Amino acid sequence: MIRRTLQFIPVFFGATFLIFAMVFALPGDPIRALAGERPQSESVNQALRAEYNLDDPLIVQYGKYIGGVLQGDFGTDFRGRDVNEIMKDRIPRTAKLALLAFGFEIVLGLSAGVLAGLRQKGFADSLVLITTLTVISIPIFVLGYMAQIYLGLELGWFPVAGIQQGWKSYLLPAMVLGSVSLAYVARLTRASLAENLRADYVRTATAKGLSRRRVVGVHTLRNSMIPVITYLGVDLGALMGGAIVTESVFNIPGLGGLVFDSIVRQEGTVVVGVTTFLVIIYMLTNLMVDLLYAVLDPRIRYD
Amino acid sequence: MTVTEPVPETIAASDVPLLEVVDLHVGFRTDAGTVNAVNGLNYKVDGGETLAILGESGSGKSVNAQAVMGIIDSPPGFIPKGEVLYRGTDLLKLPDDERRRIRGNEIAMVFQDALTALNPVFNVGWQIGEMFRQHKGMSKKKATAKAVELMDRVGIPGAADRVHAYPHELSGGMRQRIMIAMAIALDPDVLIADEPTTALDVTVQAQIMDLLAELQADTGMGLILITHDLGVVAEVADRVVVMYAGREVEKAPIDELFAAPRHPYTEGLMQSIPRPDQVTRRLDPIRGAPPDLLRIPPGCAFHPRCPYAKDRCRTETPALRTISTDPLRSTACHFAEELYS
Amino acid sequence: MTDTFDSAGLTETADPADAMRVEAYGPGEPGGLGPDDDKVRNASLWSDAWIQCRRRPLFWVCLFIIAVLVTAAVFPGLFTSKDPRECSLRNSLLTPSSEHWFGTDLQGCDYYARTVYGARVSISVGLLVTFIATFVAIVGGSIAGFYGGISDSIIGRITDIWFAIPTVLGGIVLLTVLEDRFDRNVITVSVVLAVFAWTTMLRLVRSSVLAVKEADFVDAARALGASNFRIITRHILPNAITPVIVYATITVGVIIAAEATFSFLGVGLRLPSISWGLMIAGADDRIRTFPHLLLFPGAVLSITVFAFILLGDVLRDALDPKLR
Repeated sequence: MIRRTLQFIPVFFGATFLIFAMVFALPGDPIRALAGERPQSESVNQALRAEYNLDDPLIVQYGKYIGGVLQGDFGTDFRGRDVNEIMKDRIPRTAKLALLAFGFEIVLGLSAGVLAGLRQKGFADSLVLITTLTVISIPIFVLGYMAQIYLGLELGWFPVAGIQQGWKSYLLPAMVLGSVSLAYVARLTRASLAENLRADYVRTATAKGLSRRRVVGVHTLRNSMIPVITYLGVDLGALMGGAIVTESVFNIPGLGGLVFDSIVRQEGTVVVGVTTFLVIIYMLTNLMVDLLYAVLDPRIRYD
Repeated sequence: MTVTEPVPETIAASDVPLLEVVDLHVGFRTDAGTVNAVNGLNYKVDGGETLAILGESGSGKSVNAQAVMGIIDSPPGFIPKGEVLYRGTDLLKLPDDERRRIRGNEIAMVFQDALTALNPVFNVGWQIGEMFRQHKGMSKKKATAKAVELMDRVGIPGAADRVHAYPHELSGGMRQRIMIAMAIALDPDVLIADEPTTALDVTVQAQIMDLLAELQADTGMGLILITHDLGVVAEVADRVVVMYAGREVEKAPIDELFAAPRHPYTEGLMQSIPRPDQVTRRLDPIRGAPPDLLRIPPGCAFHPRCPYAKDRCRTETPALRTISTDPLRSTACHFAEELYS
Repeated sequence: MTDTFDSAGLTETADPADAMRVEAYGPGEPGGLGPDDDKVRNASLWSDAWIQCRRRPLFWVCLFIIAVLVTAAVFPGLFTSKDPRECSLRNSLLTPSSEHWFGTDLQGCDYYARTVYGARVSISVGLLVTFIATFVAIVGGSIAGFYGGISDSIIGRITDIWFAIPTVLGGIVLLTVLEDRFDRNVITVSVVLAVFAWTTMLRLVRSSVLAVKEADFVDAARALGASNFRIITRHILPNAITPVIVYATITVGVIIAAEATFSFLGVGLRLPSISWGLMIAGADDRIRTFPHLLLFPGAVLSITVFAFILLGDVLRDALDPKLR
């Protein structure tokens, strides 16, 4: 357990450094980019360079930045605005979207997977396999547009875009965002359940004279859920990061949109801030899953 | 000769055998065709008696055990023909829930590899205790206490400490003891042990066989021992059924089988193991490989590997019959009298 | 799954079932095989798989779709005589007709011709990225799995770090910052996608190599004095490669979708390149009134991705002896 947590530390610094380096070390002068086509005085340039430690070696810049992040400070943008402030309104929107998608994923994905896994090669199984494969194959922006046109406009079941209608506005985008993960969860549950149903210990449980319901519900399901829960945990973080496309299709002003606007405006610190934040969330859910994994499966010990 | 242990009254009370298998057939439907795993099997076991079912892998011996237990996956498995009579009742005709009550309660089973046969995510006490909780409606606490008692009985030292251990934390021998404890939890009348020692070290094998014999002596249950190991058979069995390609080829009391096999296949098995009383003899394995159950050879299934095979063996399937010279024994060889007299 | 690589971890683009199943593919039981038996057994695995595949109609459907796409990518002229760049504003936004099967876009370009020509970008990016990622994965995974110890730890940590950056997010950032220095073309987009595509595959190779390493025929080869390089390339990889092939097939589909997504978001290819993602992005506001602008490239894109993912599925079923 402790070793696992310690392993997290180099990965944390490595990943955040990579992002930092990508944005700041690669070609282009952020200060000049900030100015755009407008001329800017040398003294302003100097001041800004000092402000953002741009004359330090990259690793020192990173050290100063990540020191702030560890204290919960994601820095300021080149216009002097607090990145924390900029993100504050947007985090709950992306989180709402991701959590709602996560809910769809668990409820529908698990039920479909269990249904298909129990009736292998039956109708429900084929239906689930084909539907999930189709959903996985349609890129999310295509799916998003289709949902918008058919479920939003034609049928009028859902608000089409924006967030003016409160939580209702999030329903359709969340379904779209969660759809691919939902399909994975269904397939993973099905495969895992099917594999475990063939396991020797299931035969033992049957030989013990247990009811089918107990054999499946207690003996098989617990084992089958181990990989599924692992996936679910990893996916919660990934949904936050993956919301970019959905947010742009449905015009939701969340973190994804912020990354985009900041890239267009060349606001390096905001891009790094948001990306670092999302990576931290992603890594934390990963770590939590690893630890949960050891609880679920007594064979695993991180020592 | 057939019954060596004293038999408690309750089990041997009636004339009906404790467990009788009559003309059992089991098949599996696969993409490549129907696999005929068991093709007409007959045997009886009484209380206190140990019947060994001997055969190579693919001989149908384990499938037979699963059919008796009623744990064959269906589909693809199916039982086109046959009866499994427990105290005179055909289990194959019972409704599912009655069948289920017999499993574990009356007929229990020990599997080959306890590491995979035990559920990896529950501790062993929970798994043993489940028998009491589910069949007897016992409380969790009482069931765990019973589990400790049973673990003690099957010779697990420090049972109270190990009751919360997980299967992977125990040694192979300990795990097999757990399997046995689970199987005998509800005092079954018949215990089927499917290769109970194959996955274990030689020294541990002997301990497990001793334990099974000891438990049988205590409880008077009938024991069906499924194995490919003649050594195991020699030690504990009263009678032996030798199986080949899903059919029985020879039946005999244990001593007589060893003294004088009456089927070329049994003879081949005997010659393929070293025996201390025949130091100078060369080991002589059976030629060829066991048949493909999708395409069992016509006539006597053993004929392609039989050193004595004649034309008749290729066309006519030999029935199991009593040999004139010895009424206790039967064989499925056309030429038993000529070969072994 | 207990050790430094957590093979249970998955990218958001990868099929989790594949990563989970690594052990399931296994190289079979290491029995008492001689040094050359592994080749024999390997050959029989492939011929068995071929027999399995041959019988499945889905296998042929996938191959057919992929063959058509590859042909369109190489010789688009075989499918259309129109020039996708010869556009006339007079023809702007026509709905499908016998003259323009898929209609026309805002600039009045023939949409069918553009869809056909779009295959080239998708197929080349898909194959190029998969090739790079597989190469990196095989080299890194073999070293980590075969040598273990410090090289395993180092490669493991590097993989963990890259794995921690979500593909879409990292791709957007990297593509944007690279823009100043490099042209946005098929090569740059492919390299950026490959940078994020290799991690899961490397873990797959590593665990597969670890499993095969224990087999008796590897010991036998070593006893006969084979060099490490020879053992890895001749004995281990041929036996460890099946899960990688399955995964790589699926990756082609996933990458094609990713390229379209980046182009759609405006960080991938740029006009005048012809890409399905760009076509859909260009349709943006007019989708409601002219759904053909979304439906045709969207459907072709989805069918392409579908064919590769399904082919991977079919291959997995055929190559996984446990499923028979």
